[in-house]
Amino acid sequence: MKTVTNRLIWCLVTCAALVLTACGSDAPAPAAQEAGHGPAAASEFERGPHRGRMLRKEGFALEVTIFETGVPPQFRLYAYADDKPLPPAEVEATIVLHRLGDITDNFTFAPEGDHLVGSGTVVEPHSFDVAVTAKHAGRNYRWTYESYEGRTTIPAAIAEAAGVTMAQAGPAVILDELSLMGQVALNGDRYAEVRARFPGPVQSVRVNIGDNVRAGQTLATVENSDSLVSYAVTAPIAGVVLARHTNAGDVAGTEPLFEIADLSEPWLELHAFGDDAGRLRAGMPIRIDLPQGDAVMTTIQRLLPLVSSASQTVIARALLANPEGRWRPGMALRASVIVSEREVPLAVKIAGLQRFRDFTVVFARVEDTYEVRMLELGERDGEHVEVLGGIAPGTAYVVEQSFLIKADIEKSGASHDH
Amino acid sequence: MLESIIRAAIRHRWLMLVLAGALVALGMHNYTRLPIDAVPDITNVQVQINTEASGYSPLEAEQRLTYPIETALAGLAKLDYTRSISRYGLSQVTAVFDDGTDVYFARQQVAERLQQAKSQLPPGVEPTLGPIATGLGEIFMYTVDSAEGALKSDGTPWTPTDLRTLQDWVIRPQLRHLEGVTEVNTIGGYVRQIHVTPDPARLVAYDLGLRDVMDAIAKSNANAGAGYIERSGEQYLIRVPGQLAEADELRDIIVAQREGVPVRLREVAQISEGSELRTGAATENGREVVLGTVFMLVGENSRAVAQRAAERLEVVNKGLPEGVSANAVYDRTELVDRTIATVQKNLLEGALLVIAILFLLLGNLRAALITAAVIPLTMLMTITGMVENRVSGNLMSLGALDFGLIVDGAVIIVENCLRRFGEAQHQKGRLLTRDERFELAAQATTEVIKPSLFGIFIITAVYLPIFALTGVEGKMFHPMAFTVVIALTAAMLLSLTFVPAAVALFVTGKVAEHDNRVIRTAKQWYRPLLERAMAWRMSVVAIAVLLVAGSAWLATRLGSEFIPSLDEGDIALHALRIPGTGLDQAIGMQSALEARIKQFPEVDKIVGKIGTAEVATDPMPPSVADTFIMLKDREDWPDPRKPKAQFISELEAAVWEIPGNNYEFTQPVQMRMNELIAGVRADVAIKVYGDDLDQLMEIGKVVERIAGQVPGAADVKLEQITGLPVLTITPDRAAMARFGLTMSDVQDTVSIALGGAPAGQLFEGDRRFDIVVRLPETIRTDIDRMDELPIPLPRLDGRTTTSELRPSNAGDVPAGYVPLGEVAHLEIAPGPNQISRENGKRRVVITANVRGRDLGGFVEALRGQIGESAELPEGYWIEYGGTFEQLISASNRLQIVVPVALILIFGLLFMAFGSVRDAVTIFSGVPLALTGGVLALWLRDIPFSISAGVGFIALSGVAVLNGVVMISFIRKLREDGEWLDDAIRDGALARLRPVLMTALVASLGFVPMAFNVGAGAEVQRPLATVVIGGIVSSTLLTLLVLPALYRLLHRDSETLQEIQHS
Repeated sequence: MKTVTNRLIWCLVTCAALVLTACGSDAPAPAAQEAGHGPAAASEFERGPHRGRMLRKEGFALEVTIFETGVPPQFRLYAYADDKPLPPAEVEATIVLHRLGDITDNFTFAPEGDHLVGSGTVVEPHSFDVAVTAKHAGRNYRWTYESYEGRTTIPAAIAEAAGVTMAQAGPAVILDELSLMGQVALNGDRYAEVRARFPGPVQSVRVNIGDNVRAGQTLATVENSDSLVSYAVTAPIAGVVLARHTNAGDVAGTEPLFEIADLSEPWLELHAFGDDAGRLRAGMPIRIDLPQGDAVMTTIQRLLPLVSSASQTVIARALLANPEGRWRPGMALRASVIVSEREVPLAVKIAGLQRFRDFTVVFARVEDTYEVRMLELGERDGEHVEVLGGIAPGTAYVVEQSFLIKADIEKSGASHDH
Repeated sequence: MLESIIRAAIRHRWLMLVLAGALVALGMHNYTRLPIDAVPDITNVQVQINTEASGYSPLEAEQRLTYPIETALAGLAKLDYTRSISRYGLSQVTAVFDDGTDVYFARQQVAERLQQAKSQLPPGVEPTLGPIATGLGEIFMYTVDSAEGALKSDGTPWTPTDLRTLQDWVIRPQLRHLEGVTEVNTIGGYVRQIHVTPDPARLVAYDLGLRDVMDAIAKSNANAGAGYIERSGEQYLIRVPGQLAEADELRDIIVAQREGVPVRLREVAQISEGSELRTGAATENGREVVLGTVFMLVGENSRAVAQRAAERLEVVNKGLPEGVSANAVYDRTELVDRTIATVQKNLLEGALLVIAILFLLLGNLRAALITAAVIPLTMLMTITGMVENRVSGNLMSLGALDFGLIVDGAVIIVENCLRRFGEAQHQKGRLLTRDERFELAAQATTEVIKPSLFGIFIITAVYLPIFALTGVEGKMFHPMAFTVVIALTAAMLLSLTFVPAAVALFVTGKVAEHDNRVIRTAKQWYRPLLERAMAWRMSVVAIAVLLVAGSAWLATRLGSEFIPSLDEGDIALHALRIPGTGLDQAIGMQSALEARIKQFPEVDKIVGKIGTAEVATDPMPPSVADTFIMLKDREDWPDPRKPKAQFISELEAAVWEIPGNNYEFTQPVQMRMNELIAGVRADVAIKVYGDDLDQLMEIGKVVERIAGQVPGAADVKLEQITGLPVLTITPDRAAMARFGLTMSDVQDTVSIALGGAPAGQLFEGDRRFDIVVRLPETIRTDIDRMDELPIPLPRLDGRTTTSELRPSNAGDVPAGYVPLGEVAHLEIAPGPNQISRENGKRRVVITANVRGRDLGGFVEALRGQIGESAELPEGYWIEYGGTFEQLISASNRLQIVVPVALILIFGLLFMAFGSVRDAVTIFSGVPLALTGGVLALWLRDIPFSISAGVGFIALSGVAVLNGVVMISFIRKLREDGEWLDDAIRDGALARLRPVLMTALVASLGFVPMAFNVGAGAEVQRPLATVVIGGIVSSTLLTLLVLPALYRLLHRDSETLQEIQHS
């Protein structure tokens, strides 16, 4: 009777328990790493009182931590004998880090407070094979362990199929460009408003809007009201008649009769806002990309002295060569001012950049292994970004499909953990 | 009373037969009405409210949409709880109602409250209720794809946009109106839009803003009515059509006048066919396609609806343009048909075997047929009962039906009748007369009806604890228990009425009094064994106890699973990518995955759903893809005998090679169920409620750490709620003031420029397409240059326009616009990818499983430690949930219900025999019967599961039934004055035939089930295995141990009184 009761209770409770687990996922749990590329097993290790990795041997224990609060990351070691803290001065220790691509970092330790502190900065990424040696009370201890972050391995064939492409970190030209909007304007130096020298009736008008005129060409004849002598009003410059404000029979006064402009070299007036304005200097090159694909170059001639109160803009003026009559005053266009052009010793392509934790990174490749490289970045243009630190020159890094590498690294939920 | 019923049944025998015929007809009719599906529906009663607001980030969606809706729902009648998620462009609130609430009532209530909430929602957003479907609703999926190289009539290839247009305007409307279909959901392709993409530089040059462009389009695209006039008695309607007839007409819309010259839209913008900013995509075998999913209305027959959809799709296909086809990729009919076919096959083969055995042992074909007829009759009556009680037919409910149990009662009755007929014929030396036959049949039935009824009562009692289960497990097992109870009741009714009537009526010929050869041989073997067992009764009982103990130990060694996972045939694979993965990137990764899976020769098709479909029944971010892997028929596999588990592990190994994905393997129906239930599926869930997301995350991390240190904790995980990169454009009020801009000037410009804004619709017959104004892709997607986006400045009087060309030498010409970077601060930072709320409050969940420790103790320790070490700021609190609640409540309930059931059984036995000793004797048979079942499971390496549990229940029934029959017979002999030893021996020998028969019927009837490999077989296999194994031990028990035990407990010197009331 008892057996049966227990048995049935056991059965039914088990059933009930199983209902719940089975609802979660009846699927086989993600199998372990048969394929070498399986989900990374979360590395489990003992943590010490300072949340560091505990290395133990025969009663002696060393806790390895990386301390990075308020200081550059540094190793700190806490020593214990039978779980009692040891004075740091009694322990000698070294750490050798072996990083991807056969790079080793050596650290020696000196006592400081209740711990030993490492001799240098542990540079990012904190991904390495660690070899720790310690000496205490005449005995030597040695441990090795792996501590990887931001690292994954993808067979070359699969990476290639996924469209991963590489480039080498190296020198590049960084263009500092400002893209400004503006318009083509009449060249004030080649513009004339033609007035009658003496007031009087206009007798004849010889030109029409749009006519090309030579310098000195007669535009109209006006009779001087005082002398009653007709005289010719001539063009002071060669150009096109933009406006004709007169007709035969008008009385010419002080207002202009004609506006003539030479369009062979109009002004380009670019509006620069705020901080951009401060970076502009006369003489800086300007590039105007044409819809057909090629570009026209010119340089800033001068910055105009006043600022428009409405839009708070400074106008940068340049001359545009206009042999084909392509530029017509009034046209709006966009142009790039090249503020600086600099060859930098180390740069990476922008397409390879990814966000990783709080860093901007690229992924370096050594054989089939990819690892994060935290970059310190300088100036950038549309294609390259200057690298101030974080990657060795000549390192191969991922350009296309860098997101895929990031996805593969982050999928296992690997954390920045020491 | 029983006797009078039996006699009445024999008296009105023809009526009984007609009634049986009527029940058959009713059952057949109901069979067509029975909702059939593969698995029971475990979805709770819920109403989804989806609100789309394009461009809203999770934070805005929560604040503007989710919160007002949630607030409006609070306090609804029968509301259990609400939960919500707020994602990019979508708010989904799910109201979960108490089980048993009518879903239409629930929807009605929700709809009323939504009406009230509407005024609080931003203008233009429309909350909609999700389809009236359950987890079983997604019954049919199809893809719309064009053949390789197929061209449209204008000679260009089909684009995803074209396919989507066909789906939206040709295919979907036809399927949507099918009976039983509640929704047809679309994912993939692009909704066709007409894009007006202004060039910012030209807008600046014309001194226009994006708003001007939108206004211009809106003003040029309307039809107007102007009433009517009467003329000469006739009525003329007046209309002023101004609607655009085609996209090209947009080009000529006048945007503005400049010095008398009209500026047309074409001067400032490109007009092109464009595509929406979509939230989801679909792939098939690595190619992008359009995927349609047919949702079945709650309570419909999935097979019928899926068939209807498939037939309609055929018709639809004929109307599609050359080169385009819509192909079914998932059809629930297949699964249901396969499952039902397996059940049918098992039942049919089993029934044939049963008839053969009965014939062999009874030596009477008519009697065998009558007994076998109980099987279909019971089945049909059960179906009627299921239909009336809205229990659907599925693997669980039909699969657990065990006709060994069903016919047991009938077998005993028929056997006894035959025995008595034979004896009487022998006595009288002639065939019986009709009246003698009737009388004898009534007597013989009455003789054994009590034990067989008790047997059935007892089995029913064993099922009672299952009714005590609630929640998901209740929904899973109630149908099964219900079905079995109906079947047993039906069998009982038939045993009382139909069986005696039919026996009396049809068993007219000579009935062999002597046992046939089979039984004779069996008896020859049995007699010496029985003698020996009675002589060494102590040892026999001791061995039996040892066996029970041994198998109890063995039972703990068996693995266990909930139900042997119902193999749906197809595989559903969640491919999970990191939060923030873009849709195009996800499509690329998905294609690589599908291409790899396609290399398996076992795979027929792969269909992927990435992100969220048009109707957001399952709002997933683009980083998640549901991948359906349809397998070929087994015959087409290179190795048709390869176990599915092996295939899945090969598949798994292969997909892990593909970089960047995480996976979860499941099955289509199962996946959908899980999504809908969507509770926390870990043992323990620690829910932290509060307001501030950062603060919640902080607390979450603390709790995660504490939970990880509690002994027994495994898989401790903090829900990931951030990680979506958000470009935040924060307008600078001071800077805006300098330029005379208002907040909405900046916001409008940015949202129109980047997200696009609809400026009207273009009508093509019924089809309508949004006209969307937004910037060209090259500018829109260039984050580095986003700060150059020009914001037009308010027009000032006397401002220079382009017409005034006079050179300004001072530079005080205003620019007419200001770049975005001057008035706003742009910043990219990870933001929340989803905000989850429950019962109106934000929450994060930390989940943990428990290994090697009892749940209750773990939770207590956890509460203690968190209470001690986690300090919560004001307004934050922690709740504990997860399956542990149900587990604990279930085991609490079972701890009461199981003993009650056992006491009930014992009580029934006691009632039947009026003797504790006899009741104990019979009851002791149960554990021994189970030993064989445990052994059989162990031999076949099948884990313990609920199906096996059902097998054990059936076994106990058989054991009890046989015990009851045998003990009552022995007692009868003793009451007639036989010595104890003689009574036992004679009784046991006389009962050999029925015992063997019930044993063989039950075990051989299950042989097809135990060895079948069809769909659903994995659910039935453990049951059949247990029964077959258990029958052996149960038979041994009844035949050897029971007499020994009886002998041990009784003495010759007992008086009649003592026999009856020991």
